[in-house]
Amino acid sequence: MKVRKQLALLLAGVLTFGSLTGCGGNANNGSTGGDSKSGKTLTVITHRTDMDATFAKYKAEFESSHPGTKVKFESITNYQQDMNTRMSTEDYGDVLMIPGNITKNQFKDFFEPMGKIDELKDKYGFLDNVNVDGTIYGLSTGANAFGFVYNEKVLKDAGIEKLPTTPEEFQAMLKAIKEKTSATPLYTNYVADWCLNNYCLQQIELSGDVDYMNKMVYNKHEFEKGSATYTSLKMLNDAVANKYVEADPMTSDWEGSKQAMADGKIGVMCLGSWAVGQMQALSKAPENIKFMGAPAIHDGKQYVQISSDYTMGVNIHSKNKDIAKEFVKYFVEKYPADSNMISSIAGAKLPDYLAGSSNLELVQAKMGSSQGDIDKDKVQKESLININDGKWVKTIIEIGLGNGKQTFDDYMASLNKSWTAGIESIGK
Amino acid sequence: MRTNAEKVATNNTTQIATSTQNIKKKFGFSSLPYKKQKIVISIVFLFIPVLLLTVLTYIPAISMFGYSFTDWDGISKTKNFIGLKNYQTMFSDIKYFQPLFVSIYYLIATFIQIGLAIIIAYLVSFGCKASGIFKGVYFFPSLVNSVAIGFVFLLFFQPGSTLDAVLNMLGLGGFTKLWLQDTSTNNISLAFVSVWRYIGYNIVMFAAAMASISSDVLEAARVDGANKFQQLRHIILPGISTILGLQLFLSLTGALSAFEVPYIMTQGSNGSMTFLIQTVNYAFVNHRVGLASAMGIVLLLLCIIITSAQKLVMNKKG
Repeated sequence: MKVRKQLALLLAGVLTFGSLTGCGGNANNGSTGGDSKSGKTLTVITHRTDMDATFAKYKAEFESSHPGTKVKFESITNYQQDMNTRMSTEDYGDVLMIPGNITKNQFKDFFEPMGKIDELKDKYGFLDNVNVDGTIYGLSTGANAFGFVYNEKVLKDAGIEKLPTTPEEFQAMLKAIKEKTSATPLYTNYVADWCLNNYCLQQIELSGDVDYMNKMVYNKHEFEKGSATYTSLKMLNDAVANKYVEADPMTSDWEGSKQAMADGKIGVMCLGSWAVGQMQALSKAPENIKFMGAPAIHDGKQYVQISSDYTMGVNIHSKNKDIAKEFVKYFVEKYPADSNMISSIAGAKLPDYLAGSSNLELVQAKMGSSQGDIDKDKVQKESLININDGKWVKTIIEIGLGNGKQTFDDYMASLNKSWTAGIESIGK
Repeated sequence: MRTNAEKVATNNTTQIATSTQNIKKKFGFSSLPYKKQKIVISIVFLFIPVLLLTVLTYIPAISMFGYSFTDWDGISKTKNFIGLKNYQTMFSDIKYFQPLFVSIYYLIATFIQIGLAIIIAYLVSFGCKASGIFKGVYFFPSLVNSVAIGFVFLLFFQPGSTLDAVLNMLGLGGFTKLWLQDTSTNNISLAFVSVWRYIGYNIVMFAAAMASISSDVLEAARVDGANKFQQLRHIILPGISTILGLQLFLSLTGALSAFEVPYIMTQGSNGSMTFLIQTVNYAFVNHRVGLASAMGIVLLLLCIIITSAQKLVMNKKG
C-alpha cells in the first residue's frame, strides 16, 4: 500500500514537472545560448524550409572558419506571423531574416546596427530597406527582378517573336498562346496569395518612374483608371475574363505549376526572377525558361526593377553580436548563388537572363524617407489594404470569373475610397 | 524483574513514541475533519485545470479586451489608447458584419448535423450489432487533423475528381459543377466538410447519453405499443435534453465562429469568408490587432446573446 502511494506520488510529480518544463523551457534555451560551456551558439532563423542541405554546408564552413562557434539553423513556414509573435519576447534567434512588416522607426527596438552607410556602401548594395537615417540595421540577402517568367518555346509555338511592350500586346500574346498551343497562357496561382501580390509590384516598370512607390502613399487617385496600379490589375482582370488562365483557379497548385511551366504546359506566370532558377531545375530544356519585365517601353528600353529580397539582421538581445554580424556577412556572400538571386555584393555578376538583352534597363526604386516609410505603413493599416499581400488581389480574379457581385471598376472605386481614407487619416 | 530505572526508561520511550504518533496525527492529512479533506482534495485536483484555464483563456481574453481600446499593430513596443474608436469603425460600415451572413450556412448545417446525429445515435444504440465499430468509424473524422481533411476535400471537389466521378457513375453527371468556384455552392460544400468532420463527436455524445436512459421505460413503452419514432420523440429526446442543450450550444457558437475548414480550403476567398477569418486577417495581414480585438469581443457578445436566447427557449420547453 505504501509502495503504491509512493509510486502514485512519483508519477504525479513527473507529470507536473514534465508539463511545466514545456512552459519555461524555450526562454531558458534562448537566453543561455551564449553561455554554453564550450564556445558560442548562433541561432539563425530563416523562412527557407527547403534549403536544409545547403544550410548544412554553410554550417560546416562557418564552424570550421570560426572554431568554438556552433551554428544552429531554424526555419519557419509561416515566417512573418510567427516571427512577429516571437519578437514580442527577447527570444528570436541571434541572426534572423527581417520580417517585411517592421517599419524603419521600429528597427532600433529589435535589431543591432550593422554599421553606418558610408562604411558599408562600397561593399554592399540594396541597403535602402535597412537604412534609417544613415544607420544600417541589416544586410540584403540578395535581390530579385519584378516581372514575368515565361517559357520561350510556348511563345515561339504561338508565333510570338517580340516580347509585348504594351498591355494590349500582352493580352494579344496570351490570346495567341491560347489559340495556337495547348498550353495555359497565364497561370494565376490563385490559391497561393503570395504569388498574387506581384501584380502590385509592377508600377515602376509600367510607369517608368522610380519614385512611384513613394508617391503612391499620398495619391488619392491611386486606384483610378490611368494609374499604373489600375493598369497592372486590369491586365490580370482581362486575362481572367478572356479565359486566358487555368480552368479552375480555385484549385490551383503551386508545386504542380512549377513543373507545368518547366514542361511547357504554361506560357507565362507573374513571379519574381527568383522563380526562374527553380523552374529551370525542373526542366529538361532549361534554356527555354526566361524572364521579361512588365509590358511597357520608355525611351526604347524595357525597365526591369530589381529590389532587395529579405534582409538579414542581428537580434538586439543577442549575446553573441560580433560573431552574429560576421555570420550575416558570410551568409549574404554565399546565399544569392544558391537561391537564384542577384547578389548584393558590389561587382557581382548578373544572372544570364538579365545580363543578356541590350533592350533592358535595370532600375532600383528610389529610397523613401523615414517619414515616408511611417506614412506608408499608416496608410496601409488605416485603409486595410496591405500592398505586400495578395489577398485583396484575389477578388479581381473572382470578378474576372464572373463571381463578384461588383464590376472591376466598382471594386477599384471601393479600393480607392479606402486608400483615400487612409491618406486622410495621416492628415495629407 | 525490571528495575525502577528500566521501568521509567520504558515509560519514557513509550511516551515519546505515542507523542510523536500524536504529533503525526495532528499534522497529518487524515487528522483533518472530513469536510476539510474534501476541500483540500478538490483544490489539489482543480489546481492544474484552473491554472491552464486562467493562463490560456481568461488572461488572453482580458488582454484582448484591453487591446481593443488601442491601435496596437502586434509588434510595436507602444500601444496608444484610442478609446472606442475601433468599435466605432466596426459599426460605421456594414462590410465588417457581412461575413456573418456566411455563418448562416454553417448554422443551418449545425441543425442538420444535430438532427442526423440524434437519428444515427438512436440507430446505433438500440438493437444494433457491432455498435462499437460503427461508433469508432463515425468518430474517426474528429480525430484526423483539420489540415489533412482540408487537403483531402480540396482534391475531392476538384473538377473531374472524386465527387464528379461518383456523380457520373450514378448517372447524375448533369449535376457536376465547379464546387468551390461557384459562389452558389462553395459555402454549402465547406459546410458539408464541417458537418462530416464533427458529426462523429455528436453521435458519440448522444449515444452515451442515450445509454443512460433506463431500459425499463423503453420496454414499458414498447409493450404499450409505441413505435420507434414515438419512442424517440417522447422518451429519448427528453432523456437526453441536457446533453442536447450542451451540444446545441457548442454547435451554435461553433457555427458563428467557423474558421478551420474555410481557412484551410479557400482561405476565406470567393465569398466564403467567415467573421473569424476576417478578424484573423485584420490582425495578422493588415496588422490591426486593436481592431481585430474589438471584432473578437463583438463576436463573444454575439455568442453570449445567442446562447442566452437558446437557454430561454430550452427552459420554456422543459
